[in-house]
Amino acid sequence: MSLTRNKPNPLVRLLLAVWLIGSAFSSSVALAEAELTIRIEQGIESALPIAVVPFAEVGDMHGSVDIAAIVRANLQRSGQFAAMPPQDMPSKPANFSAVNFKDWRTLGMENLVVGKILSDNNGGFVVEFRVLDVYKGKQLLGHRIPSSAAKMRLTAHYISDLIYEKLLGQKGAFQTRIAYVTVERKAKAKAKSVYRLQIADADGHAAHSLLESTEPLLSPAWSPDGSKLAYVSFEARNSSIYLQDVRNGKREEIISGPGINSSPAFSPDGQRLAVTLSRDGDPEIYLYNIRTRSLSRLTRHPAIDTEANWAPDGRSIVFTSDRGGGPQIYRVGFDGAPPRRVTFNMGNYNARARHSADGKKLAMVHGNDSGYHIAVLDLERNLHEVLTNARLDESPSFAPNGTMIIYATMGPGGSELAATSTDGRLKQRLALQRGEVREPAWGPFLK
Amino acid sequence: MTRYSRSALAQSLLLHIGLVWMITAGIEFTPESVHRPPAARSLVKATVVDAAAAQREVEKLKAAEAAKRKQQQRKADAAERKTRELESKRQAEEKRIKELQAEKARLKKEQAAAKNKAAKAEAQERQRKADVAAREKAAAEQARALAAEQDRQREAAAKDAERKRVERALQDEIAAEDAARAAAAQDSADAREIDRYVAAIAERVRQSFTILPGHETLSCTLRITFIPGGEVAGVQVVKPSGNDTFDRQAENAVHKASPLPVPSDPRLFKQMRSILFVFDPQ
Amino acid sequence: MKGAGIKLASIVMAAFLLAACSSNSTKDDSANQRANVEDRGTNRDSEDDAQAQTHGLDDDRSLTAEALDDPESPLAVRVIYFDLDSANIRSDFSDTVTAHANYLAVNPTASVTLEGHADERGTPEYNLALGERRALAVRRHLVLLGASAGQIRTVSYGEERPAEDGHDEYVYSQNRRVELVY
Repeated sequence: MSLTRNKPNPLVRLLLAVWLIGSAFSSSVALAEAELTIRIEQGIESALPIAVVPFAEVGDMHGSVDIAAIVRANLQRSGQFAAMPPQDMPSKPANFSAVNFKDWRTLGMENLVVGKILSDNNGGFVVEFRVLDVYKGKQLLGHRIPSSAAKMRLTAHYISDLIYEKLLGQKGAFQTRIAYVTVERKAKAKAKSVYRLQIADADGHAAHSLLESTEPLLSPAWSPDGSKLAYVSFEARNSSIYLQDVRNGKREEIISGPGINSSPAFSPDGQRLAVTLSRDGDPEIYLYNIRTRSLSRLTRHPAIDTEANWAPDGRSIVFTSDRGGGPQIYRVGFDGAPPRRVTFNMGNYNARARHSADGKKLAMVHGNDSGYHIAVLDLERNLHEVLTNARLDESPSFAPNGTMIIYATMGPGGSELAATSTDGRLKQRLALQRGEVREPAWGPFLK
Repeated sequence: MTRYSRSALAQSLLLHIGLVWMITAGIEFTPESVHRPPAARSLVKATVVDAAAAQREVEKLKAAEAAKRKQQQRKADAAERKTRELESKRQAEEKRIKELQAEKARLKKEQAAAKNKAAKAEAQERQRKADVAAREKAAAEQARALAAEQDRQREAAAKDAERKRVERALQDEIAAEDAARAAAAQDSADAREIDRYVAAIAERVRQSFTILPGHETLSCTLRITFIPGGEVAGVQVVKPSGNDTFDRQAENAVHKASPLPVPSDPRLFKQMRSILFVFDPQ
Repeated sequence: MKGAGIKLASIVMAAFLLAACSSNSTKDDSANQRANVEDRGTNRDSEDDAQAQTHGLDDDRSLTAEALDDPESPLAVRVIYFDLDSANIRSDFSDTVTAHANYLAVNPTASVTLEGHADERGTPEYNLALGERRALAVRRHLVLLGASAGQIRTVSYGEERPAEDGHDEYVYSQNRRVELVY
């Protein structure tokens, strides 16, 4: 064939080639044989939708609880789930065969929990539940749990943990407990306030007092196995440290004497307490062996050294010290080397650091111009983030799965408990008790 | 000025000194010379003698003096002969020296001549070598030129072949382009249409995709097949993220967004029957 | 400072005067003593003029008690206030500290508890240490000015026992304090 037209110049050929290649990768169509590819690079940061259908009840429900409601509240409170209110549910199936998946799909409800409570009419119960994948129309999880009236709330928490773990791939903390101090200030002037040391479920229910006193209580600290609480009481007209068994309530004053005796913190193996004692002239960190009752001194500096917290590997302790002028966080090991500062470029006030369970983060009280807030320091990347913004937040404590931090915040009626997700995305108030609630300590996973 | 060799000079000098010494040493000096002590004469006694005896005494003295004069003459002749001998020796010596010098000069000349010869030979050799090199260079040059010429010819031939090939390819291309253009015109219209559906699908899925905390860095690929009307027919996890929860959220996003907007035209729907979804939050 | 010196001297002198004549008996005893004195008086020879001087025991006791109870005296000031984040004793409290030091010096059997406090800002445990710092600062001053260490007990309540409820600067200034409790 002879050339009867102009040759396309090289630039046009290049552009043609680019167009052909580019169209194969873009969201526009390539030549008819290539597979269409769509990139989704954005989404919504939101909670997972879940519908926990009220459980069917069979038999005498005396002594039972509304398990579905407790589960719904737990999942909602974790900040990771958006639980559908029962009044919005199209139907209330109790088992697999009764589920009309199409109805739920229409609502965009991808996760469904159905269940049953069966009574033996004698105070004993059996709880069944299933977690269903609405789009696949399949069961993801199903369990049958024998229980009793005394343990129904705990059963609900157990079910919440199972659902949380299945759908999020993370351990849930709904079966854990929190300890805290309440202050009831009497209306009458000169009447002494009443201080109570209390333990409650992680949702604030089932609270009971371990101690009631007309003198201040401070710094409750859980033993690693959850069986004991150490705390500070002023009942002897000075601060002293007590150790109390959570189950049988028996307690012992383990450290007292002139000066400050406070800020107890259990070692990860539960054998020792780090404490703050000022008997030698100024507040220093000491180690107390619970079995041998011996004390050994860890810090040696005329400044204030207090608020010790053990690293989860048991090899070091962080504490607050104002040896540099104002309170900052320092870390000290047990090899005799001097403490080293941890908080840099974080302002003038950083105190009361607490390790997360994996040891990678510290939650602490961080003071700046707008008040005192909860901040989290990522130890690996040495980056910190201020999570709260109220005027006076303190006493942060990590949930044992590291996803949440409980703390005390100043509300209209005084101090109250609040929780924030560790990444700061979600904050919520926990309206637990009347009166002032202070110094929360999140207990460990039950063994 | 001719240069004498040192030894010749020394010899000549010694010779001259020797000559002079011999000359001066061999000459008898006249009685006037102070070197000779005056001859001791016997004392003349003052007695009367006979006249004859006196005459005989005078003639004795005269004869003696004449003999002395002869002796002196003989000595002077001898001295002169010696002088003449020395002179001739000296002349001979000079001649010899001159001959030596001439010999030396001749030797020098010969050396110079030899050197010249050698230099000439060297120069000739160099010249010879240069000539050889020049010849070789010329030969190499020629060879290079030849090779270059051959390359040029090859290149020219190749270029020529390439030109011919390109021309042929171009002709093919033009033919294909013409055909493709016709099809592409149809395709691009389709593609624009499909683009619109793709954008709509992507938007719907995005709005249904829940990203949980900590999942921002995960990524998975799903292959979703559809039935006409946009309902999900099947889901295949082509590339899991490693986190089951994330993959489930991705799948649920497509489910929640369905039925997805798909074309009703079967020709177009055929291209959208199976779609790869890449979930990659930034 | 000069004024304080004169005050000090006069108080000391007065104290010595009184101490010279004090006794340990109670008010009842003093009545008896008066009685005793009177008895002694009737037993005497009436011609002897009773020259014995009686000094009411009540006087020096009540004088001492009055010093502590006297709302005008600096000893009535039982709270020392502090600036934010500070354990320095401000100059407007130096009279108070001096008065208490003198009182303790003069009354070696007297003892005082210094209760240290802090305002609610910051963490409770660190505030416990700040309260102690303030109590110890007052104690140092008292000892320097004449009290003996054995008379002074310190305790810190940190932010746990506010004097005033509330969350403004005034309330905070009232809570940053050391209380002297006899």
